[in-house]
Amino acid sequence: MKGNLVMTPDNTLAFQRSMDMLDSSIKEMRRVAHNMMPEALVKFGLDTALSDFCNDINQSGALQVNCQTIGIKDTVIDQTVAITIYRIVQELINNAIKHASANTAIIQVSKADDVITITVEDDGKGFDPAILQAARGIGWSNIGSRISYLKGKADIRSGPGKGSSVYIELNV
Amino acid sequence: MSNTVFIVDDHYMVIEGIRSLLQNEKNIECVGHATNAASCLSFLQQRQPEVILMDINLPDRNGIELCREVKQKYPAIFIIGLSTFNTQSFIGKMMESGASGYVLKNATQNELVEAITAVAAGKTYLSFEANKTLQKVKVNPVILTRREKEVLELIAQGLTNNEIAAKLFVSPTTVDTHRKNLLAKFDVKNTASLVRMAIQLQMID
Repeated sequence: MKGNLVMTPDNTLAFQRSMDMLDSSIKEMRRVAHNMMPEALVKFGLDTALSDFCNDINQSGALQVNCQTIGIKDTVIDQTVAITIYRIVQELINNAIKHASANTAIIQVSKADDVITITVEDDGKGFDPAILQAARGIGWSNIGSRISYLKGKADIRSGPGKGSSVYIELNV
Repeated sequence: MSNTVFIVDDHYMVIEGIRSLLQNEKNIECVGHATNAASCLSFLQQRQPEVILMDINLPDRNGIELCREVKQKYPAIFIIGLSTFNTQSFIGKMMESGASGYVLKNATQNELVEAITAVAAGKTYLSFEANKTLQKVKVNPVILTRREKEVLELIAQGLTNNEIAAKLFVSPTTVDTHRKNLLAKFDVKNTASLVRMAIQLQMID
């Protein structure tokens, strides 16, 4: 590149910087794309994808997560539903790390007959659930639309200093 | 006496990289490579190496299936999974399919040589980081969510689903779901044994 073009040192610097930015954008895009469709979810199903997700979080040291599934392993879950559940869990854990500064969390997904339940609890700061009515954050509105897409209902228990507990019931 | 090694990976640079890492090793001899599962299987009909280094992502099939098939047809061949994925599920599935080892693509030359030598001697080998990932996964004791604890305590007090539902402001079916999950977690068949187990484990007084 440098051989074919005459560039002032300033331009060279700008050019280098652009290349670096491009590099980091590509990295970021790969990360996002990978998160969009976790490989383990497609290949091995929800149970494995969730436990991989927890292992990743645990290894990152951001949060200690305990993940339990009941009745998920040996059943077939529609992929759209599985992805939706995975996203909800991801978003809730994201909140526990980003907003609640929690140390530990529990993820639990269970399936009995046609009911799938998701429980995510953390020991973080907690919040007044009433503020969610007015919240404009993209996270909660995404969770909300995902739950209503699957005709589910959510029950959120929290309070300042009390951690939080989110319980979601889906009919599939 | 050198160990014969066969490489299955769809990337030439990886194959060449491994070859060059191994070329100075007197006790290891690369006998060939394949870039997909089909050509690997047809090579094995001609000749069987002692060890196969097998990538998990292959263009025609995944390495986990290929590993299982090779082990079925040629039980004497030892397989080392080779991947960039350092996740418990990939490592676990590969080992379940009969692999004797797992090496990440960021492994050093020493690790690779050690892996081949160990596996050829009939031992199992996990590269350092893969080992670390597997060890992080422990068997969980019974861990209850806050809601389950509430429900469990009320069950122990002898309340019915409907009474518990009214107390916790949830629907009776939700209480029943919690109850079912509790039975599953404690691995018991009915509410009476659930309460007994919970007392034994000192989760309720």
